[in-house]
Amino acid sequence: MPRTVTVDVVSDTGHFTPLQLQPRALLSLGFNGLAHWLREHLVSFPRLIAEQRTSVVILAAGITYEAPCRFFDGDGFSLRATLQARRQASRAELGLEIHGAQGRAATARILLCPVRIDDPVSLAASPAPFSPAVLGRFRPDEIDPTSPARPLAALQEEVARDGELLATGQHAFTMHRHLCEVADQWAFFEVPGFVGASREALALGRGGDVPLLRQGFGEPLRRLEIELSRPYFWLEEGLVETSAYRLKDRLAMVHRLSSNLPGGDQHGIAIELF
Amino acid sequence: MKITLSGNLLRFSKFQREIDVPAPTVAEGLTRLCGEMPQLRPVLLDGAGQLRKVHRLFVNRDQLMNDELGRPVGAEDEVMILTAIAGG
Repeated sequence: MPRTVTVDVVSDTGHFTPLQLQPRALLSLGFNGLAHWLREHLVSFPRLIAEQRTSVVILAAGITYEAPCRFFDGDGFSLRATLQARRQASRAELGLEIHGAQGRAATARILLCPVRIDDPVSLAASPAPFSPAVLGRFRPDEIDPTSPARPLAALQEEVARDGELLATGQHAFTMHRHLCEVADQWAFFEVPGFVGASREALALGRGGDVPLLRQGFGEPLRRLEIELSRPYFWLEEGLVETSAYRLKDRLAMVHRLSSNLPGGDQHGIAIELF
Repeated sequence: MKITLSGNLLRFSKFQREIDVPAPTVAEGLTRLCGEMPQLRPVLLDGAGQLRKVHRLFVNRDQLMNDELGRPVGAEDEVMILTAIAGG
């Protein structure tokens, strides 16, 4: 069995909406689960970067909510994290389970791309498989040569095929430092906040004539899928372009993250299902 | 030329994002920039004085390869230095 770590989280009000565990909090705590796993089974995250000159960037993330998990359901919840090296060690996949008072509340996955730190001062890095020294610390059952799945692509096809476009909108943002991590690039777990802001702006503006948009206010998120292709750095400006769909009588939101920076304007895609 | 730096480079440029650097070529501009801001040199350039591969350089939004840095530029040309990495 691949090794896991279990982290007990004491609930605070900021972890939750009135409806559920916040997706931002879940991804942030999940990423911290990676740090726990690394420290317990590999090497601590700071030492991985400083001594092994290895880090990771995030290529994708997904959450599937299952049993209810609300603030007043209990004093806390637990997070179980498992890490596997994938595709000849050029990918790593963090699997997460969140257990609350009513059972498994959610599963999540974070797809990582190992990078080699080219400059320890700026932390600039290039994609590179885990070195033999790092990979050697994984157990055989934590190494899977196959490519990870891309659930967002299938979901995107489903929305395009079966969805009915209801409304579109956009939300501009600036990548201020509180949204960034140690290398002054964005923290991926802020994506739910950016796309949520765009969704809410659209529902505020168009919810009167498209009532289904308000489902995003009053009902819990069931699933979130994110794929990222390019980071934003500190002070860069970004745009979320949102398309709302009716999919099997439920609300589906497709968000495209972009910028006007040269070299390709797409930074990522996120899909929310309510 | 006017050089704009990616956000992750600002702590090496005294938090100046846009810097006017009079120079006849992009390469000369980079050299002068690193002369004015020595903290930037090891971050931008490798031991051979070449732009590190982790950075991408654009002149008026057109990407320039490392062997094209001799391109002449004028005072109004906009040079952007972005850090290249896939993912988020």
